[in-house]
Amino acid sequence: MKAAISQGRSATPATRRGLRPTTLVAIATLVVLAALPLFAKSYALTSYRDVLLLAVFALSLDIFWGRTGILSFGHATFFGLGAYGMAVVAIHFEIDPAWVSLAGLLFGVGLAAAVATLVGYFILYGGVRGAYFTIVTLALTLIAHHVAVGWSDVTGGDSGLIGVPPITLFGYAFIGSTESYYLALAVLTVALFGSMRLLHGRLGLVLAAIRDSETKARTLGYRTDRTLLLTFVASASLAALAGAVYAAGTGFVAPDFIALLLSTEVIIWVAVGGSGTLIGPVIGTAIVWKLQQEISSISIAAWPIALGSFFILLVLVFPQGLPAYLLKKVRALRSGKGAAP
Amino acid sequence: MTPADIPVLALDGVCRNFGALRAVKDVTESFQPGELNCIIGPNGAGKSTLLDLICGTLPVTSGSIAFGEEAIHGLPGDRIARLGIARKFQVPTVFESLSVLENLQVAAAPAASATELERILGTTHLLDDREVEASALPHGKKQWLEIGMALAMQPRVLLLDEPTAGLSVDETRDTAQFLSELRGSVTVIVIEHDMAFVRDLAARTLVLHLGEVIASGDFADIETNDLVRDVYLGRK
Ligand SMILES: Nc1ncnc2c1ncn2[C@@H]1O[C@H](COP(=O)(O)OP(=O)(O)OP(=O)(O)O)[C@@H](O)[C@H]1O
Ligand SMILES: [Mg+2]
Repeated sequence: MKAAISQGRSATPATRRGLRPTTLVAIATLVVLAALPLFAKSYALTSYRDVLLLAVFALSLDIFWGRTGILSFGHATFFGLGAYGMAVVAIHFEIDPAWVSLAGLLFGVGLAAAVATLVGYFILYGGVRGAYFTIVTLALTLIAHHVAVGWSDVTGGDSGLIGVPPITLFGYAFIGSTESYYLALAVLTVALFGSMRLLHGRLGLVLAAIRDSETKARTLGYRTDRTLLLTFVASASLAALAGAVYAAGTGFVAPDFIALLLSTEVIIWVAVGGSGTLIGPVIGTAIVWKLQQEISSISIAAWPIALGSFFILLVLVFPQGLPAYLLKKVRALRSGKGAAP
Repeated sequence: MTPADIPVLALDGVCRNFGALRAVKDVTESFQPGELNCIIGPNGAGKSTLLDLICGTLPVTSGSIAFGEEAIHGLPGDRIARLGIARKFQVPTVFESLSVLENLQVAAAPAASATELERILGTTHLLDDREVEASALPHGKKQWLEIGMALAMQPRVLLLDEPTAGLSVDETRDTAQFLSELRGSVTVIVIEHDMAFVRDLAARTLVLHLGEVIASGDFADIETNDLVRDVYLGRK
């Protein structure tokens, strides 16, 4: 009785828009990306390829964070496991060059999936959510980084591993910058449309329900622990796929592929593009990358400061991400109520 | 659903403590298939806690709860829900970021037909609000939506915690009408504070006080029970 009667009659019902503008933005973005090699120099294409793969990485985080509302600070672990998995298989084992890429991809993604399942099972089934989840996954990245630096026989220690061959699939090697760019674009396209298809369906609805009230979702019969774990593992596997293809593109792996800084950066890419939108993080990655180029060219020290400041703003001012924050401001201005937060 | 498909819900010596506080004390009751039951009692009597124990949101401290042959205390809440036990919380709990229709879709089985959901929208007076985001609904409509979600599960047992709180007189009458219509097809346990409403329902009534069932039976008998008058009805 005491808690119940707060009549919220003020709200004018906000109707939901049926159309999904994000799908249109996604298609437009991919069309532009597909045409890019016609205009770009070949050395620039390798940078763009890396950005596309980092965008896949950002997408992977958005699948989990954007949809469940639970922030993972551990996604660099999975990106790094994919990259190191690929590198270790390619460098330490003598596998037929025609198959080594596939073996590396499977090993890297499998490793990340296994770690995500193990860690995810204990923390998600243990009821760990919210900030505690973020802290545990942060610790995971620290541990993974230490292993990458310390286990130098396998990982090459501080200097990492050099000589990861380009991706070769069924006898075709993606060696040139154009070929490897289109491979990265293909990975992004499949990942983007695959995740949109899944998350715009019933699974997306159930994840939104769990984010709003997990207790309620459970009283409706959903095994919420399982749904969250599966989403986490899928998200980690995609991060690892991005990492593995990234390592094959650059030809090397280094401990910064599996470091806290990368975990932080990917959160920022997603936040800049708008978490939960899937295409937003892809665009966010490109924007931040461009900004980094510009700012670093002025002063090397300026970039980490800009990054740190943005992160603090993110936590304190716009936890829903930049676009959602701006959209709210615009709506508030339009409805004439002023810009209340 | 006919009563034959619904098992008896039986509580045996059910207790729940919060630290030193004994919120539910030794409750032994059974709820017959298709029967409409009311629980009344003053604030803090343990009514909501009792429903939490049945639907698995809280574990029992001791005692047992059986749904037919199956012991359900100790099962996770989602398992209990899948047995057909649906719950409406005291503070309306809906998925705020989803539309009314999406809320019902989440609650219903994936195979639920559009006409079935339409029917529930009709029953809950939400036909014109289907596209509205749940966070924008007024309190009363959230109550209805949560009831609609419980119905969408096609439950065998429906646990309703103060469904009429914040509703207008007309809406309260509607709710009473709608609960009466469920008689015989769903076992209903409804917590209420509104005595006129409980009188209207003329259902089997349990009176809870300090965690214990101090009386049970027809509301007419309950109303004349001296003990009940002292602890509860006498307040008015
Ligand atoms: N999670 C909890 N932790 C500690 N004490 C609790 C908890 N939930 C309920 N209580 C206490 O248990 C007692 C019973 O609470 P309950 O909510 O079941 O009462 P109620 O009969 O539903 O009351 P109301 O009419 O106010 O809804 C109260 O004294 C309450 O403060
Ligand atoms: Mg209560």
